[in-house]
Amino acid sequence: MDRTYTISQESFLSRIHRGIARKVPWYVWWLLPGLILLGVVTMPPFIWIIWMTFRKIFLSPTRPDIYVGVANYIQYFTDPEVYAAWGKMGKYVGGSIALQMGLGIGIAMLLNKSKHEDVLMAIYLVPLMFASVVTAYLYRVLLHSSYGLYHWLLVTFGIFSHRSPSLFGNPDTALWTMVMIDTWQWTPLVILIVLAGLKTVPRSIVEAARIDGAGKWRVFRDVIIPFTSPAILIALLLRFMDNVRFVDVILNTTMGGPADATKTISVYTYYLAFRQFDLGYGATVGFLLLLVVIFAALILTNVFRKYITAEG
Amino acid sequence: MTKKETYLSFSRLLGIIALIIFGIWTVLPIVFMAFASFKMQVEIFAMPRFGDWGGLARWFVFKPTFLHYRELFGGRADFTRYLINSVILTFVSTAICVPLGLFASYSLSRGKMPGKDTIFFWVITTRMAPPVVVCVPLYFLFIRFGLIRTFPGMVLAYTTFSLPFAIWLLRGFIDAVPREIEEAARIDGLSRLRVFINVVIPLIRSGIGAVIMLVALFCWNEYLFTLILGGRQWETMPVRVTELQTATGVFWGQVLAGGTIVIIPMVIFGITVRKYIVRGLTMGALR
Repeated sequence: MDRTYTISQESFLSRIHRGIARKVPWYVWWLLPGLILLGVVTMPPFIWIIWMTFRKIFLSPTRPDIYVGVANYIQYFTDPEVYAAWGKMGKYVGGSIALQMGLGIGIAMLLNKSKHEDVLMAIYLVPLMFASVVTAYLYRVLLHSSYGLYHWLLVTFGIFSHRSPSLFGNPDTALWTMVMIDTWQWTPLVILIVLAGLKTVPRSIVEAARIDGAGKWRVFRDVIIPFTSPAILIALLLRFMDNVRFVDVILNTTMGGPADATKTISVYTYYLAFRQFDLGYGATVGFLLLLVVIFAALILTNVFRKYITAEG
Repeated sequence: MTKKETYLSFSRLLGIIALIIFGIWTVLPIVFMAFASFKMQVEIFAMPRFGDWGGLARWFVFKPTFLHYRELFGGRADFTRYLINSVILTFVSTAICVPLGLFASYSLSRGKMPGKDTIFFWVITTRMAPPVVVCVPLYFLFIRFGLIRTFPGMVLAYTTFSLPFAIWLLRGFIDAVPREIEEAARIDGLSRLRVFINVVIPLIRSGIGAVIMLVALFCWNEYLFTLILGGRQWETMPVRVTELQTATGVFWGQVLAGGTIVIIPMVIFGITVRKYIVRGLTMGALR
């Protein structure tokens, strides 16, 4: 009796299984593990963040959190620090991306023509492998105002006077120093991606254009740029997303200082959450940052898609 | 460009100078770190007078000491443990992330499902969330489910935050594989899984190499999540390096030695597979 029961249940289960398997197409099974993992880990925090933006959170066992409506949002739009932080963010992200894309495209084109491309790439690649934390500490030594190598060079070349503060210590230069460090570390990634893009330019078309009398600039503008634009856009999108997110170097060098000169919106979020423990308002600042990033990425990817379809 | 161009034109000279300057700017900090990590702390800071180039040259000539490395691995810093943590976490997370990404991106590339692009965009948006924002709720959730300071919790975090990137790149590679090849194999009687493993994966292997490299790099260098979710048990080397700073000051020699140890495996890995990265990216992601 027992035995019959087991057998019948097994066949019943396997019949259900086969039924589902026939109805659900293969690609769902292949996609699900990854999507479930992503959903389970990223969605609850996301919903929690939205929930927190409507509350004041005290992090105390005796004092319960309270619902405050849109008070956090009102605070956001009346907070002068938010506007200042966005301004710094704009300078930091804009400066970094402009420098990295410019340098990256230029160096990649030079590399593509060089006989020593392989060796040079191996050298140029190294900063990309640095942990951001290590980068931060390394530059703290290099820029130190009494024993930093870079500071020494700056004074020796007469750019700095003997008694200047370090690049980090001066509110006028701190943010641009961050741009410089970010450029040092991440230009290699742009070079890699653009170099890969340059390899997809068919040599025959370049030569045909030359034979037809196109000058160097024409070849660059009308042949090389269209073929490499997908690569350039990928590099741009990647750098944009990471530049907005990452705070590691700033947190391990200036901590947002001096005089808040490097307090970008991401750093400000960190301050609110981990220094002032104002989690509700911190979540609001972070959530609105995320919305802006998603919106910007949507625009970028649409531009990207247009390029792809334009090429066929 | 071609071998015929043996003369040195002005623009070529300019290009070579640019490449050299960029090289110096890239290499100087790295050389400085490597040298300084073998110097005594006092010697690191013994910079010459401003303008004294001979003194600067002498800074690079010294008797190397392994003191900092010995202190890192033998002393209180206990670097061995964190090195092992880093290796295990990176290895396991990459080993889970890349196969998951492969299946998901193949499905997103070949499946005839509605809303494919929306799903794909959602996947990418999960990568855009600033870690600073995510880590607070994630911290409380991890406590709630007993995942904080545990190995499964750390692997879960690492895998999840690398997965969108893997799916993004891998989908490009798979899109670039001509469907006719797969259809021919299907007609020959291979199952979909067999086609994927025996036909598609070998075709995109340099792309997979690039993805493995980049995912491992992100895991190895992860900082904020590890700091907040890892605790003492699963702390990794990058976080450990920041702890060599105490109230009395920073152990700069140890920090620089630790930094050197952190970057060496990835630098070797990166230089070894750099051709795969360029070739892999050329193949798929850029179409």
